[in-house]
Amino acid sequence: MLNTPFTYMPTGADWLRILPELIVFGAALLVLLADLFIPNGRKGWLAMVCLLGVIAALIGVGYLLSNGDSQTAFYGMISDDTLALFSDLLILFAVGIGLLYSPGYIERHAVTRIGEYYGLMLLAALGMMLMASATNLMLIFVGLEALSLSLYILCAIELTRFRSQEAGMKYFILSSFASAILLYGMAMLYGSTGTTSLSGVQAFFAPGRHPFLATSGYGPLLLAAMGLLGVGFCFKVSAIPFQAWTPDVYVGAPTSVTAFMSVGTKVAAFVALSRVFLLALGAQSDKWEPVFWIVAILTMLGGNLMAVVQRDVKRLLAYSSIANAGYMLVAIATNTQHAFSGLLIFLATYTVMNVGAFGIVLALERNDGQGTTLDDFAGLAKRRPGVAAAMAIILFALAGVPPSAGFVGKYYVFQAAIVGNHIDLAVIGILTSVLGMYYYLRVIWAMYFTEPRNVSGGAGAIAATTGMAGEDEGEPEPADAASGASVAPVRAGTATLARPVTSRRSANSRTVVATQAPAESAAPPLTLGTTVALTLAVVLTVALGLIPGPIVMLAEQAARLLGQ
Amino acid sequence: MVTLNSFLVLGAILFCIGLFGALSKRNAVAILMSIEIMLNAVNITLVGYSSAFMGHTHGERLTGQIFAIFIITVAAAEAAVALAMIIAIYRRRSTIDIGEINLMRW
Repeated sequence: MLNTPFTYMPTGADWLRILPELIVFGAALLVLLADLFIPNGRKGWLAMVCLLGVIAALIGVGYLLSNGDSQTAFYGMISDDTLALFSDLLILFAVGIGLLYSPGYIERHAVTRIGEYYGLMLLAALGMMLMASATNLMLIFVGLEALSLSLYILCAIELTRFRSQEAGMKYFILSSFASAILLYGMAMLYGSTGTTSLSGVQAFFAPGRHPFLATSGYGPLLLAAMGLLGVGFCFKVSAIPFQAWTPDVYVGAPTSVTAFMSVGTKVAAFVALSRVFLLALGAQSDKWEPVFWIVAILTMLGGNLMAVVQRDVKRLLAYSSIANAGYMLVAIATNTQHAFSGLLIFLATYTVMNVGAFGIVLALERNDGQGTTLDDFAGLAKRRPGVAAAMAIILFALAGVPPSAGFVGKYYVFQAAIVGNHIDLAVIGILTSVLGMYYYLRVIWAMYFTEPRNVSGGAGAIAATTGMAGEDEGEPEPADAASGASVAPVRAGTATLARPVTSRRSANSRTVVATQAPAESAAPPLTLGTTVALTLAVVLTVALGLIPGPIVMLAEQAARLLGQ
Repeated sequence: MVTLNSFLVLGAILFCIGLFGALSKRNAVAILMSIEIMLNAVNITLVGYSSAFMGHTHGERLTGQIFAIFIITVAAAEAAVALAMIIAIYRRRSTIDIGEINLMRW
């Protein structure tokens, strides 16, 4: 039997099951190809191609949701079950919003490799979708590396801003280090079970299959496998004590990329973690549950405590994403089907809130990457009431105030924890949420109840004055004048998508600013794409809070995988 | 006689060398090399297990070797990206010491 060659012919049904991934991959290739033919002045069209690809992939997800067969494809490598489609939905939403932010950001920040930027955004999304849909350790690894390699480059793509390169370098070192540890864990798991397929691992631990397991367990090899896998995944989801890279990378990376990666990698990593631990290693839960219990508590406490002392809002959001990872780990530690659907609902609400929050940061950021401290937010409500209102809604949601998306997510996770006999985790979660409320509401306080202080000096002030001068001459993008000539061709290039919204409101507010605090106004007006993306994020944040029904149903359907 | 144990011990030793290097070195290229050693330690472990699973079916037995090929491919891509970033940083800063690449601190 050993001598018969192994053959597997993929069928048409196999290809249909990876339809969304195929569409995203095709769009990425199309973008890279089109980049060669589109002249420098018109690169904005690439964003259009990407967005069309994402929309087509969303339609593909919709088609599979209604007509899919929830089977594995390609010899059990990848699955189109509801869990995979649910995470595809979140990842595609995140990359769509990130792409809407991109033209405006590229235009302001002298990103010269525009074709590569868009191509890598889609390839990173593809990696995330593969990782979330994978039902084999091998494909989890390939998806993880596809997303990581794309994100390393995306983080470091701003060649003129050193923080961007530093972020890329730090992300590379810590992430590939974590990948190596994760891989060693996978090798150990393969060694102890003889297979890399998740269903194979699950079957290996099925009761009665290997009688010696019941008496002796599998000893040190399996423990080492679970430990290494746990460490690797904790790095990827930025759980404490493996969170050190998160703030630096999130702050240093281009904000449009941060908005996308902060949620996309979380969705992919948490779904893959759930597939490996909750599903494949579910029979061994008595060994890994206590570890995740401790990590969840540490992450909730540490993330919130470190966020409290932050003065920079972008960095604060990075720590808040660590704290949110802690709430998600509560669901992992609870380890019930109910908690798993809670985790998925939390991921959905976190996605819409977080892309919105980073979008606001992007809207206020100046060209040198500064301008996001609490002092810069002071009095924002008077200068840009629309942006301030959007930020307030999103921050209330992140704080978990009902009826918002954030409340729904936390409610389902903590309720599942209480039902699943983890009242300790729920109590700590709720207490740390109160701590979280302090730093979220402090930003709102700064926006609405404090007067702007003239703190920004140096480059920011120069940019501001130049911006004002440019505005008087009727320049559409005043702040660009400060960042040098290199921006000029790029700016022309993205004009199609990134037409500045010269609304009456922003013009008025900037006149007010010019008389009151000139140094604060360097952030340019919102582009059309950013406005659309922010509106979408805010509307969904409110909508998920008011009518969570559909997403809850979908999450519960996806979580049914665990009950099988 | 090369047994499974030899593979595993060699893999573990290499992995520890890589781990130590990645944690203790300050030169970005040295860290990259350490990470590559860790990946190759995993390859050795996988191939070792793969050769030990004689009784299993053909597909399962080859899994470890195929996994190792995937890892080799990814490691090559990773090295390319990392070296490109290191060169970009060196051009700006004239250093690849990660202790000095540190603008951001909390």
